[in-house]
Amino acid sequence: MPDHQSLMADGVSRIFSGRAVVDQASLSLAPGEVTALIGPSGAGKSTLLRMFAGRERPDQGVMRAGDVVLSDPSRFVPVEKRRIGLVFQDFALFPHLTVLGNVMFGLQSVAKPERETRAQAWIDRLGLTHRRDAYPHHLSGGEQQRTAIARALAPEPVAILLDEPFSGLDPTMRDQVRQSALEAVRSANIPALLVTHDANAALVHADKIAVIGNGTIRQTGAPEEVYRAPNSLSVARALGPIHRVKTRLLPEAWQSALKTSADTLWYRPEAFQIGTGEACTVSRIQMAGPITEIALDLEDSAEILAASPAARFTQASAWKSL
Amino acid sequence: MQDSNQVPEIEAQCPVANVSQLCQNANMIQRTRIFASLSLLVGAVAACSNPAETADAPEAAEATPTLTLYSSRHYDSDKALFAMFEEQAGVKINVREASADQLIETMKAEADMSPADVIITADAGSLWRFQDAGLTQPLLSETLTEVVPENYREPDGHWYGMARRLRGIAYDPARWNADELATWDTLASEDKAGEICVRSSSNIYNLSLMGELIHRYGSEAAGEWATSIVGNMARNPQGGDTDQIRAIAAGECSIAIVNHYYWVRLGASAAETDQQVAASTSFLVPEFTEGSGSHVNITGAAVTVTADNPVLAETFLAFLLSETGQSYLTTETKELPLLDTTALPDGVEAVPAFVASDVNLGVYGENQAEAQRLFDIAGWN
Amino acid sequence: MPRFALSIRSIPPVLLIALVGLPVLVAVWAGLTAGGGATWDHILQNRLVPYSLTTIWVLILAGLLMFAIAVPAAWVISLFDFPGRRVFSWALILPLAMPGYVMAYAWADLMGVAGPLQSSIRDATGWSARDYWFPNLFSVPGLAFVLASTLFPYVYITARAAFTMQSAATLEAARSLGTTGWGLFARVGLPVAIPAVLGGLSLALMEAAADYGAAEFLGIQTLGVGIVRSWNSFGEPNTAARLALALIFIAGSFFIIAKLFQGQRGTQQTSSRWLNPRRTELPPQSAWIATLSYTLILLICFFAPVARLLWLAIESRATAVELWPLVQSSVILGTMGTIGAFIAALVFTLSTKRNRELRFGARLVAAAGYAAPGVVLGLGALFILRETGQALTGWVAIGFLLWIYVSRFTSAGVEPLQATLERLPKNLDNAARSLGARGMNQFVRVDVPLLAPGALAAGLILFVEILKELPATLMLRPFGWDTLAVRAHAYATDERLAQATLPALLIVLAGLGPVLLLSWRLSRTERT
Repeated sequence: MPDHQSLMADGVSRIFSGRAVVDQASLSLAPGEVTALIGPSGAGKSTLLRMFAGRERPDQGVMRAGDVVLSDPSRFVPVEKRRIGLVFQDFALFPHLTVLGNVMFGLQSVAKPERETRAQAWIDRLGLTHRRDAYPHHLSGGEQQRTAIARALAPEPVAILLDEPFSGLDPTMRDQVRQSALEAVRSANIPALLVTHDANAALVHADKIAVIGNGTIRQTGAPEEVYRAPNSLSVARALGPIHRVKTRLLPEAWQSALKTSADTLWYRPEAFQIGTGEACTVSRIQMAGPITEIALDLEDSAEILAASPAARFTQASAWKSL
Repeated sequence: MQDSNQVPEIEAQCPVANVSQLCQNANMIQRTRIFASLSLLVGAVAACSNPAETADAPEAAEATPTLTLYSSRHYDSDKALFAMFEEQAGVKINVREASADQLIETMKAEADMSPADVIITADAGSLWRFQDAGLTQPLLSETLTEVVPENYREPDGHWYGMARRLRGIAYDPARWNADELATWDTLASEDKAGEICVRSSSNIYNLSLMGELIHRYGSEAAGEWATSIVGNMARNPQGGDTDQIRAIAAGECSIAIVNHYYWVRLGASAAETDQQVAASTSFLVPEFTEGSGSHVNITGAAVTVTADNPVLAETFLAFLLSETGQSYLTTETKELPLLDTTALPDGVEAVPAFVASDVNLGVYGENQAEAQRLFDIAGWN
Repeated sequence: MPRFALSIRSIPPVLLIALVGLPVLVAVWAGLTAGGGATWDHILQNRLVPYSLTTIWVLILAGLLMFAIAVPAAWVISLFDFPGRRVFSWALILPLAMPGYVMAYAWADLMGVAGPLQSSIRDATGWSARDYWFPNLFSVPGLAFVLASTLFPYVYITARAAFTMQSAATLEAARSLGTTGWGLFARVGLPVAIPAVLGGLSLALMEAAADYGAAEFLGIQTLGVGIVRSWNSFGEPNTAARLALALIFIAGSFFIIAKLFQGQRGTQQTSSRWLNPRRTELPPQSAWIATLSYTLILLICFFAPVARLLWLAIESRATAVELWPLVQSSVILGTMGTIGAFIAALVFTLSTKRNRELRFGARLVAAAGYAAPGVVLGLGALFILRETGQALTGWVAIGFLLWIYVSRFTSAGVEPLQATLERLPKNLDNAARSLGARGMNQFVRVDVPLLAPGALAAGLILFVEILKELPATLMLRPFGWDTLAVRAHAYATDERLAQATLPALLIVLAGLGPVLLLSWRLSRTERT
C-alpha cells in the first residue's frame, strides 16, 4: 500500500555552468491533492520535475517521500527505485504494446493472475475499456493521455508527476479529459504534481498552486488566494493577464477612491465592470467567446484593457465603471 | 471495431529540429547534386577515354588489326605473352577473362556479333564444350599439325594443345614408396583409409580425370572408384590443390591428388614455409594400369566460328607454339611445354618422367556431366 | 486510400519495377521452361534436399550469430559510455568492407591445419595433426561464422539507428515503472527496434544465401554452390536458373517473415521530444567487459584476417601487376552503379508512399533481385543480350552490367531510405502539400531533404556492395575493365593467395572510406 504521505523538496538547487536553474526551492505536496507548478519558460519547472522524478540529482537540498529520503547530499535514489509515476507531455506510450500491455507494464512485481485485474480496473476507471486491445497509434490524443495516466497509476506509486499533460489536446475536449483524468489521480490519494504553463487550466483544476520564477518558489497557496493576492508582480503575471496604467491618467473619481500613492497601478482586465459609474470612451471591442475585451481611452493616448462578460453593445454609448 | 485509418487527435507537431535540419540538408542536396553530376561526368569521360573503347570502333580494323581472345586462363604471365605478340605482329589484343562456361554462354548470347577470334582454355574438357556448342571452327594448318602430337589436338583442327598439365599424386615419402602408388586404383585400396586429401569434385581437373576413368572403365567401375576414394579421405574436400599438399606436410594426410605445377610452385616460392612443404613431399604421375600411360590435360586454343581474321588467329596459335610463346606460356605457370624441344621451366625437372595416355582428350568433355553425377552419388563433395 | 490507379505519376515506378525485375524474371523463366532434363532429375533426386537443408542451416546459424554480435553491442554503444566507446561506434562497421570470400581465404589460412594457429600448437606440444581436436572452419558453423563476421554490420547499423532514435521519454517512462538495465533492453528497447533490426537482418541473410565464393572455398554444399555447379560441371545454365528459384524462395521467406513480424504493432513513437537518450556511464567492471568484448569482435572480424593477408603478402614478396587500372575500374563502376541503384531505390521509396500495390510490387521485385545470386542475374542478362543481337562490348557491356547492379542492389538502398521515411511524423506530407508543394516540387523541397540521412547511408552501402561484387562483374564487364574483385578472384583461383591479398586489401581500403563516412554520419545524426 502506498504511504499516502507527502512528497517534498527542501532547499533544493540545481546549478548548470554557474547558473542556478533551480535555486533553493522548497515545495511540499500533500497526498490526494493536485498541485500545479506554474511559471514562464526557463523558470526551472521541468528541472524541478526531473529532480522529483530522479532523472537529475540536486546539487543542494533534500527531497523526501514521506519518511523516505529520495535524495540528499549523501544519497540518491535512482528513477527505477523511486516508485514515482511519470506522465509525459507526449505520453511516451510503448508503441509495441496495446493499452492493456502498457498499463500492465509496471506490474511485474505483482502476482500474475492479479496483474490483469488490476490493470483492467484502472483501464475502466479511466474510461478506456473499449480500447483495451488497441495500439497507441490507433488511439486519439485523449485516449493516449488516459492510457499514460493509467499506466503510471497502476503500480500504486507513492506520487505522480505530470509534465504539461494537456497541452497536446484538442481544446474542445480538454476540460472533459482533464476532469476525469484528474479525478482518477485524486482517487489514488497520493501527491500529484502537475507542471504546466497554462495558468487557466491550473486555476480551474488544481487544488494548490505553486508559482516558480527564476528557480525559486515564489508563492504557494490555494488558486483563489494566489490569484487574488499575489505576493509579487511576477506571480501575478504567471497567473493571468495583467496590465499597467499610470495613476494620474485615471478618472479623478477612481484616483480618490483608490487612495494610493503609487504612480503606476497594475490591474486585471476583469477589475473593470460595465455598470453605473464613470463614463469612459470605448475605442475597441473584441468578442472573445464568453468575454468581451474592451479598450477604454484615457488621456495621453493611454488606454485601459478591460474584459467583461459578453453582452450586446451598440456603438458610442457611454459606459460607467467602478 | 475502430477504423484503423482514424486520424489521431493529436495535432501535427513538427519535430523541433526540423528547421535547422532543412538548412543542413539543403547543403547536402547541393553537395549530393554536385557529386552526382561529377561522378556521371567522370564516368562518362573515363568510359570514353578508356583504351578498350577505341578497339570497338569498326574503323580500328584499318588502323590496327585487333585480335580478340576469350580466355579462361588468368595468369599475369599471359599478359606479357600477349604484349609480345602485339609488338611482333603489330596488332591490338583484347582479352575477356572468365570461366569457360561463362565464356561459352557469352558467345552464345552474342551469336554472330561476337568479337571473339580465339579461345584459350586451361583444360581439354572445356575445349570440347566449346566445340560441342558449335563455337569453334576447324583450322587445318600444316604447321600446327606438324608440331602438335595427335592426341593433343582435335582431328579436324577445332582445337590444339599448347601446354601440358599433369594430374598426379603428391605424397609423404616417409610413408609410401613410389611403386605403392603407381596406378590410380591403388588409391582405392583399404590401406589408404584416412590418408587421402583432395579438393572438391567440381574442380575441372578432377572432372577430367574422372572423364578418362569413365572412358576406360565405364561408369559403374569409375563410380566405385570414386566411392572408395571418398571412403579413404582424411577430411572433407576443401580448399585448392596447394592446400592438400600443405596438409601432407602438416601431417593431416599422406596422399594428395594434385596438379604437378602446384607442387612445383611451392618449391619455387619465395616463402620459406612453402619451400619446406615442397621439400617434405614427393610427386609422381600414376598410370591407369601398368603400361597404359598417364592422364594428361592441356592448355589449349581454338579459332572461333565468328573470327573475323582466321589467318591472324592461326598466326597467333603458331606464335603460342613457338619457342618464345612456349616459354612465356609456361615459365611462370610451371606447366610442361607442348614442344619437347623447349627448355623445361625451373623446378619442373623434378617431375618424374611419364608416358602420356593415348586417349583423345575430347573424351574429358564428353564425360564431364556424367563425372559430376557419379561424384555426387559417391558423396565426393 | 485510392485504389490502384495508373496515373502519370505511377508510370516511372511501374517502368522501374519492370526494369529491376526483368533479369530475374528472364532467368527464372528460362529455368522453368528449359531447365528440365536428366541433370535436373539428378539434382532433384540427390542434391536438392541436401543443398536446401545445408543452406537453411547456415542461414539460421549465421542469423543467430549476427544478432548476438550486433544487437547488444548497438544497445550498449547507443546508451552507455565506457572506454573506447567512440572508437567502437564506428569501428564495428569496418567488417562490411571485407568481401565474404576474402574473409574465407584469410580465416581458412589462419585456422587451417597448415596455418599458424595449428602449427604453433603442434610445435609446442609435439602432437601430430591427427592427435588433437581443433575447430574446423571447413564446416557449416565455420561458414556461418565467416558470413556472420562480414555481414553483421548490416544488423549493427539498423539496430544503432533504431536505438539512438528511440525516445528518451519512453525509456524514462519504463524506468519510472521500475524497469532496469536488461529489462529496459528486453521489454522496451528491443521490441520497439525489432522491425528495423529484422530489416537489417533479412538483408544480411539474403546476402549470405546468395554467397558462392566463401561456401565453395570452405567446401560447404549450399544452394549457391549447387547453382554454379549445375552450370560449370553439367554445362546447363538453365538448370542453374531453375535451382536458383529454391534460393530466391528461401531468402525471400526470411524477408516476408521479417515483414510479418511487424504486423499490428506500431513503431512510430508517440513522443518526439527528448529524442536522444543521454548516455550513462557503465560501472568499471561492466565497462571493461564491454571494451574487451568489442575489441575481440573487431580483432576476429577485421584485424586478424587483414593482418594475416598482409603478412602473407610480405612473406611471399607478392607483387601484383598493374593495380591502378583495377582501382579506377572498380571505383568508376562502383560510382555509376551506386547512382543507378540509388535513383531506383529513391523512386521506389517515394513514389510508392501512398499506393500500397505499387509499394508491394516494388519491394518484392527488389527483394527478388537481391536474393538472386549474381551468377543468376548475369545469366538473365546474357539471355536478354541474345535477344538484342549485340556483342558484349563497350557501352552495351557497361549498360548490362549497370542494369544488373541496379537489379541486384536496389533493395540495399531501399532499406535505409524506408527506415528514415517511417521515422518521419505522418503529417509532414500533408503539411507540405497544404503549403503548395506538390509532385516534383514536393519531391525536391521536402522529400529529399528529409530523407538525406537515410540517403547517405543508402549510397554508401550501395557503393561498398558494388565494389565487392564478383560474379556479375566477371561475366559482363567490357574489355579492359577488370575490377579489384575480379583480379583477387583470379589470383585466388590460381591458388596464389599471397598475390590475391593485394587487390583484396585494396577492396577493403576502397570500402573503408565510405564505411567510415557512413559511421561518421550515423554518429552525427544522434547528436541532432
